[in-house]
Amino acid sequence: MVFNSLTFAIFLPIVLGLYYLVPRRFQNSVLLVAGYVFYGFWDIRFLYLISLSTVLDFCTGLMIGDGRMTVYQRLQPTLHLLLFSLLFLVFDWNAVHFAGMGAPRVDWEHAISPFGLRVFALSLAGVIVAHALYPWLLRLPEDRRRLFFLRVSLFGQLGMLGVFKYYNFFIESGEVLAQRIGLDVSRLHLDILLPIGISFYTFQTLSYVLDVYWRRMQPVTHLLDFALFVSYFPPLVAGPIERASHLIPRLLGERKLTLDAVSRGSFLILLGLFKKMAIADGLAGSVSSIFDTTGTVGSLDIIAGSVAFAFQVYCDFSGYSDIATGVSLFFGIDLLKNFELPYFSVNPSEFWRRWHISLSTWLRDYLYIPLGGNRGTEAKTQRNLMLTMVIGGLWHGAAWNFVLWGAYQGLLLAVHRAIVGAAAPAFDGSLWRRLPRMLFFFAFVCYGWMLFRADSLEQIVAFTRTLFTSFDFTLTMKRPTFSALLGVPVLLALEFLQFSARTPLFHRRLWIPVRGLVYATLILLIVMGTSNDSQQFIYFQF
Amino acid sequence: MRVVGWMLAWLVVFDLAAGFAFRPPADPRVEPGRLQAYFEYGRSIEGKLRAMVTADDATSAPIATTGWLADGARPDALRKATAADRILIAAYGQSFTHKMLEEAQHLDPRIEMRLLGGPGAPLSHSFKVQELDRHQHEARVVLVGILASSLQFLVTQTPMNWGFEAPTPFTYPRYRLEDGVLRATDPPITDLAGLRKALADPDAFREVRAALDANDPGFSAFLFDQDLLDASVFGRLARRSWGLQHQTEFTARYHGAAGFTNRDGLLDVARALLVDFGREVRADGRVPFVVLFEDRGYAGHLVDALGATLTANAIPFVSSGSVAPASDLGNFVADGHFTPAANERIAEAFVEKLRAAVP
Repeated sequence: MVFNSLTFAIFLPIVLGLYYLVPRRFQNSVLLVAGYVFYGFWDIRFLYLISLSTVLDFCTGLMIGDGRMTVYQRLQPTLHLLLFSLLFLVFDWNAVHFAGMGAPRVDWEHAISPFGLRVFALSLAGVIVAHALYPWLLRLPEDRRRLFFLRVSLFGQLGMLGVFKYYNFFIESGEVLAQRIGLDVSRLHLDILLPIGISFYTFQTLSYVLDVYWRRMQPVTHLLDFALFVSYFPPLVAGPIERASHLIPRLLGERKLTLDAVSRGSFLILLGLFKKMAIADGLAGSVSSIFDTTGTVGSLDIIAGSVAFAFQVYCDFSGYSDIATGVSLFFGIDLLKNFELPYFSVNPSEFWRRWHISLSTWLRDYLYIPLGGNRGTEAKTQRNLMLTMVIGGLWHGAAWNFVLWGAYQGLLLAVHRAIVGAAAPAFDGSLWRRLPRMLFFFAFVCYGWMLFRADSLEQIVAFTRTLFTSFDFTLTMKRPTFSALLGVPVLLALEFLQFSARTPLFHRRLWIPVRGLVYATLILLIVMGTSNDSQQFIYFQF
Repeated sequence: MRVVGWMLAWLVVFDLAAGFAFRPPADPRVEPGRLQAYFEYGRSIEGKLRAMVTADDATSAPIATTGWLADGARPDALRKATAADRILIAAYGQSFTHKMLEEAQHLDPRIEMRLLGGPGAPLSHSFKVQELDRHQHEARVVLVGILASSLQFLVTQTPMNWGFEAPTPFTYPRYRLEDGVLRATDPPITDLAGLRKALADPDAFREVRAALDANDPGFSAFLFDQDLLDASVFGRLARRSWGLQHQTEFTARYHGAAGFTNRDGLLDVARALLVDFGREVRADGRVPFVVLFEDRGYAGHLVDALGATLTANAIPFVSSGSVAPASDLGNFVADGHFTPAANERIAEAFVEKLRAAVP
């Protein structure tokens, strides 16, 4: 289910209605069921995976933190996992046929999935082994127990991510090498679907286990509370990547819907839909006309295509974050900030403080600092930077161009650090002094986006060669749609206003008729954008 | 609340201002500007028909006058050969066919062309026009151009519904295969005069609408019927959005990433039409020829769907994909047609094959 769909437009009011109709103690249950419906809309089988992820880290969190689980705490995840495997894997929902408003017809002959039965058997075996080992695990010394469960969590979560996201990539990457030594690895390919948003919720749950391990927070004691943390639907499939220490207190604490939250939420939803539907979708065809062609492309086309993609990917991704944050505000829950005018950056260090903030801070806190951060020699710091950015690149997708993009970002950070030093003050000049630096750095950002968007290493090589050796200034890129052509200047104007006002609530400072004009313009452009060829959010694939 | 009031007021102002500033030209013969066309795309099909069809053909929109079956024996163009030993080609198709043949004539001045067709015409239209025209000429070669993106419109009776943004009202039969035999369901109207009459007579118009509803899976009352949304820019934008979604869903029933599907017998009918085409043309002592135009998004799909039938029935054919692949977007101009260079390569391939077929 995507935010810019009619299905979501029906889903959200129903969830909101139920949420505010039921007593407070049932509100989280409404949100949990909503999260499962939202996620199951893509493929109902994915719900088993999210259940496995939930159960694994709920149990490991308790064993790391408290060192024990009550009978109830052990029974709950057991039932959760087995029930989900029965409901969403053993029972094949493709055997249910819906015809209009009538009762659904079930094709019982095909209602049981042999694959699902195998997974159920494995889950059952896993649960029995876990229960059998529990008394022995209780007797482990605290340090060993904590480390053991941390490893179980990391192995389980990263293992799932590895199998679903990276397995085929590494098999394909090693295929050529294997062929040279006479090995046929093509049979090792797995025909698997990439569960949508798996990188987002995996990182989210990892942050929980690591925070509990580092004693930054207490473990969650109720499975349903933890399940809601994993499957809270607004940020579920494309972020912001929530921190347990930020989201869990908000999910468990008192929440109040205020007029201010409704107003902020409405504006964010409006802004997000505008970015996604009017601009990102309106530019998608133009970008595709450059990157998806098998023919040769001139230098001006590559520049135009990369700039167009810079706006497309920004509007697509930050649009999602805006809508997620806006929707969440309607439930009285604040999400982490994910973007802060990234193209106003004047250097790579500032860019990563403004772009996909929830990922960059995650990488900083859970990878860069544990690697040693900047505490060692300069060479070690540069190595840590590079390693963090390459892994950050690989987080985006299982392809060499993402690795290259990560390495390029790491290189930019390393070079910038080498030039200005570790303690360079942030640039604080006026907007007009900032502008030329912004444009200069934007060129580097766009080259990075070319690496990101390219569909092969061959295309990266060809485009780079053309950029630096051929000066063909004919433009064949498909013209963006009207909504994008009008939307980009509107976006720039809004962002300049926001930058000058230094607050995301800049629009509230406008004279009321002008404020009305801004909202009406966004609505007009969204309506125009509804005619664009609707694209899936780019970051769903990650 | 005040801000919501202002926002609503501005929306009304936008609606009225855009409606006034970008209203289409009063004379349907005048091409609208880009923004004028943009804000008109979502007008209902009925609304557009009423605007484009006036009291006589001369003052109606040119798009309304083309492609009608009743005009089948009236070629759109007759281009004389400039060399002796002429090869007259009777060609049926759409602009892709016409542009390719114009280029072929430059390459081989013996080629003389008799062109009939309609904008984006599907195979069923070309087949019917060819049948109506077969005794009207002395051509040595009879050519049909098939456009990949309009193959699926074999299951319709008019381009109006699938091309609702700029509907061309001409019609053609819908063919179905019954016990291996092609059966045609004729369209409710076959000429502009018939449409004009129907537009003036509510009962006759209801009959036309009912016939399209029955025989055209792309028909949608929301897109077709004139209503209040036509009066508002926002209403028209909303209708356009819904229409594009409808169009995408319609196309997805017959074509996907793996190629064409045989839903509603689409491929069976297309193949049967080609077999009959080859038989009829040979019976007249002429050479049948087919050009497959694979446009954007259809790389290799047309030749996959029809190539084997053409080969099995010894019908010479050329596929644009072999010289101007649809996967290379550099082969296309913004409106979806081939670039002159790509068109030239297709024409070269055609002329080469033609010389082998007609020495």
